[in-house]
Amino acid sequence: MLFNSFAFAVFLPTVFILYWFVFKKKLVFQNILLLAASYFFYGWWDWRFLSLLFISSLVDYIIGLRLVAIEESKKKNLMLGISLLFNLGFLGIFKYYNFFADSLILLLSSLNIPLDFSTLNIILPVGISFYTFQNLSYTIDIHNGKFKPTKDVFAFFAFASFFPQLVAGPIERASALLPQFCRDRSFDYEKARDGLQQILWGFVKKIFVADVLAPQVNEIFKNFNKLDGSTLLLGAIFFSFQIYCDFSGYSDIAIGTAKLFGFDLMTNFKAPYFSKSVSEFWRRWHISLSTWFRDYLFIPLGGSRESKIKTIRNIIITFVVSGLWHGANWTFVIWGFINGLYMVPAIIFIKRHEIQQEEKVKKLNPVFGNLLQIITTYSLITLTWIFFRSEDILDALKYLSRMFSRSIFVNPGSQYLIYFVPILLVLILEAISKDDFFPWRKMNSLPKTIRWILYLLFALLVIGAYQEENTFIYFQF
Amino acid sequence: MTKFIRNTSIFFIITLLVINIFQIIQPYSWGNPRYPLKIKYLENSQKGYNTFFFGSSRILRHIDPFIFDELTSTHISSYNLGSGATFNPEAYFLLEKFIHRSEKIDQGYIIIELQTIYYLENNNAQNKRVKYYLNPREYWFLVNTILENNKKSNLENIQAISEYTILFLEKTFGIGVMNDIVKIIFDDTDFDMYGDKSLGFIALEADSPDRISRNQKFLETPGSLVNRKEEIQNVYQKNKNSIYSNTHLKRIEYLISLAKDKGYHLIFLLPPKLTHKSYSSLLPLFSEINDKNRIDLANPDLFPELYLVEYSFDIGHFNKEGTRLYTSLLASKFNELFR
Repeated sequence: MLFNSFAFAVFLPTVFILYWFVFKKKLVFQNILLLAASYFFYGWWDWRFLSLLFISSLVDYIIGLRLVAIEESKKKNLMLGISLLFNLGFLGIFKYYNFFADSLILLLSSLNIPLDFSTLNIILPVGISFYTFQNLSYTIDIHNGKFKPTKDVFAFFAFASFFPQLVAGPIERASALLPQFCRDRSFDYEKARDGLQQILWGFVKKIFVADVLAPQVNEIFKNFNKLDGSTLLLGAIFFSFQIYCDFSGYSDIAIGTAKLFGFDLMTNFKAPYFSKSVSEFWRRWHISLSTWFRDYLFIPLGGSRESKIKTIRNIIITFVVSGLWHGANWTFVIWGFINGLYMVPAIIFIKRHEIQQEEKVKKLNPVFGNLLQIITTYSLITLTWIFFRSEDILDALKYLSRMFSRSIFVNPGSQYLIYFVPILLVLILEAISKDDFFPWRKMNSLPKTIRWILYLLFALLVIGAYQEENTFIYFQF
Repeated sequence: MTKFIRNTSIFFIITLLVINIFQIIQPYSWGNPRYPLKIKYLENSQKGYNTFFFGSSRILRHIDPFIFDELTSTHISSYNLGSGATFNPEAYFLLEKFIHRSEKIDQGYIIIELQTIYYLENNNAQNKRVKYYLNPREYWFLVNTILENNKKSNLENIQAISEYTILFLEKTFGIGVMNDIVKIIFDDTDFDMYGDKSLGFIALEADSPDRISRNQKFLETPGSLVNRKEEIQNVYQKNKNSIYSNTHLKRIEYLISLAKDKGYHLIFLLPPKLTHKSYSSLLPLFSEINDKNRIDLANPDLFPELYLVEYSFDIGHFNKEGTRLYTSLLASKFNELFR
């Protein structure tokens, strides 16, 4: 079920009313309702994959309990290994089998070694990359002694399938989200109001920005061979905002929806295009995933505790795996690799403690120097988006080559100007919100009439720009 | 919680009101591709037309007003308001709006194609064409007509009602509609092609060269038309006492009365070359319409020439020669009606 669908428009109020009016008396009833609603939500897409979700949740629930019951570390490791095998195994089969099979065949045939290998006709279960990582954080944290498992089966299963963030994040840590299922929740007007505001803002980004830019991006990337460099540059810029608004819009809707039910999910984006360095960008973009990889891959590899060479190695591995997480295509691997390379100068030239230091939130109306840093960072990131969006590496290289030809100085035409309107709306509102990264909190200080007019305007923008159901980009992951 | 529900409800109602006011102030036919341009032409034309043709491509491509006027009475001045894929109840919606907005006339005529209710195909379910006209009246008409349709299975009827219910709600909340309205507001397509030189009629061959391949495909399997003709003949022979939709008949009677109040004589035309299933539903209904308000040009035994390949562009449409023949036959039947 997509957020931007009629079905969801009926689903959400129904679950909300049942949750706060019918099942509010007992926590366990609310959890059961959320569990049933989440399975219904997921099954709406394809009921056959409910079994996958159920098995993944069941395995991790059992392993979580076994991990604290076992004293011996070898057996603990074995339990963790089983959890990893199940979760990553499912992910590997459904998402990567054909990719690795095809790549192996290609490699061997280039060495004149023929190999007859069948590929599988598999549908990729939506959201599998998200919920497997969320479940893994549960068993890994229990294994590392950072978290205690729950015996409450309904709370756990509801956590593992929580519909607002099940299919496209934020990827929550069990330590942050699971306790919320285990304590009483009472209706909070301010939280619910914030939730609705965030949902509205999410829809503005998804429908008024991402979906409006999508046809232009598709057209430009499909016909890049015939277009001028200046148009290709616009295509790259449009895609950078399409993917940002599509994904962050979804996250906002997810976070806002969770608030309606009394849950707090983590912030997933913090105005990333205002970053002044690539490392800052990765602390502001898809925060739930980048912190997951930091905690469960980068740090176990050694992090930045050892030599600079090893730190660089760990960074590259983390980013390459992150790229692969996004999709079974070499373009994503290259995208990850390049982003990893971008981090290398910071490792070589900046002292270790400055890397580890939390970036202080600075004002987002920078002087010229800051503006230059922001534009440079944005440009570097946008170049990598070309790999992310292209069908294959060759196309990406051709796109870049064509973009940086002399035709970059050709006038692309005024027909593209209108598409900067939604982009500017997002940039201006994010600039206004400064430290908050969520425009509405600033607007809560405005008089009620002005606020409502703004709500109405935004709602009309969404309804006016709405086209038939457009899937969120990150659903393919 | 009360405050939250109250504020949310108020906001919802205000948004709904704004959306619907915006829709109401648009031209009623905004979702139809050709019809608004034809209306625009009529509003700008000095010529006083007194006869109009309504319906789908079976009107747009089949009735040439020049030929019709020539073969009928001298006071007839006709215009083709047909538009491709204008099925029911969209056609009735447009007709009703047209009549309401017309000045009273001394003696005018409207010929509308008799059609079954359109059961949505998957690829059309999200199209603005199938929802822009869905006000509560049209929606209710659809639901009742579908419920009375015994030619389709219960499952098909339930599915159709569900689909139209969702479309009606989407239209009410402006979902997937506002975007199209905004595009159309800024559309400045010229209405010249529907003007004095064509009088709204556009032959299939003239419109788009892509359609020629459709014609070529049809000519490779001309037997399909022969089969269709035989199926229709069977329906004519067996279908005399079948059940018709009361709701649909009441609508027809209402439209006849509405047209009469404005000085128009409304005629329902049963066109040839539909599927035999369509005639199973339409024939019983057609036979309930007053003789003076109907023309049958579908019966293969009476009009075998209309089922000849040499006059056909494809299985459902005529080519230029076929259009000439068809319009002539229509004019002849029209003259008989008012002899």
